[in-house]
Amino acid sequence: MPYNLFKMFKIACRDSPYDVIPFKQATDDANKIFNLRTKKSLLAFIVNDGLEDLTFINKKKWEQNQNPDNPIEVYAYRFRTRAIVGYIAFMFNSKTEKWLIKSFHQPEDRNAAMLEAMQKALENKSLEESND
Amino acid sequence: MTKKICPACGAEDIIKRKTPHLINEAFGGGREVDIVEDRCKVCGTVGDFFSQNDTLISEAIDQCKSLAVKNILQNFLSHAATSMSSMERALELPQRTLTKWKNGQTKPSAAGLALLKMLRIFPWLLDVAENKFDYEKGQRIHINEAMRELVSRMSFNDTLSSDLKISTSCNFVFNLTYDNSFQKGHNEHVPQEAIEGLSGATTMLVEQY
Repeated sequence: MPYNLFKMFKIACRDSPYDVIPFKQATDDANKIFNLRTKKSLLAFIVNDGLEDLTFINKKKWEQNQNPDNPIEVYAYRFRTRAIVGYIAFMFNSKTEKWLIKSFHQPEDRNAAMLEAMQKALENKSLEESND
Repeated sequence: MTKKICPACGAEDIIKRKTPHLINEAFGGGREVDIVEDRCKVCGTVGDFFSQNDTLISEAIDQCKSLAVKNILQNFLSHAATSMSSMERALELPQRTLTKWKNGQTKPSAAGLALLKMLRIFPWLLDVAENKFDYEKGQRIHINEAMRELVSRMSFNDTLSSDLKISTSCNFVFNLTYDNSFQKGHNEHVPQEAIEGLSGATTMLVEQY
């Protein structure tokens, strides 16, 4: 389910960019950390599989939601791009039919995340070697 | 006309304001643009709700990039003993490409600008191109430049015996110099063969290039 949702999010980024709105903090972090200086470049990066090793972390209720009749959940994922480990959180409001990128930054536990990614890469390598 | 609503919560209570945003470009300086910031008074969401900033930011980035191209090429002409024709020849670019970029007659692609930035930081990449991107020669040029940079940053006085100092001249040839006391044979701790070996090793390494 979380990965299907991400696919839908990617399709929205590709086909209806006006319906995808990054929060100001996400825009600032994308610029500062990932050198993605415009909304267009941020969405293009997402569409073109820039978020490698995407891993679902969790989903949480959006705390700022003022309308209890319209529950909104924020989906958070971890990803990697080159040597940078990143964190993306987005949500979909079915009333406004807009996707919102809430966060786009490095995870707070990025050292642990990097270690995990390296271990995963090493495991894959040793698996490949044992297959050879 | 459709009402403007907050994309996050659907409220209509939105404040629009302009805030300064700094665009920085390597070698192209900075430029400040006023971007739109929408804020929902109900849920507190802040962002560019109606995609109004991208054009402004892109234009500012383009202006900074044009300036970066000019600055990089001007720097090459001022500091490196090379002409634009020579650079074009080495890089196999059509003649007058760089002149046109510098004068703003044509704009380099993103890849072209990335190449210029690389050359600005690592001018020796031109030598690699000059050698037809031969892998071995490229590696030697790289190592040689790294050594030259390393030597220029190192204080050998800190790492070697005070009796022995190594200095380097700008044509990459290492010379061994001795203190007067060493030359007079007062220091017996460093054998002459070791000095000669060290001298030979460094000279050989450099001469390979």
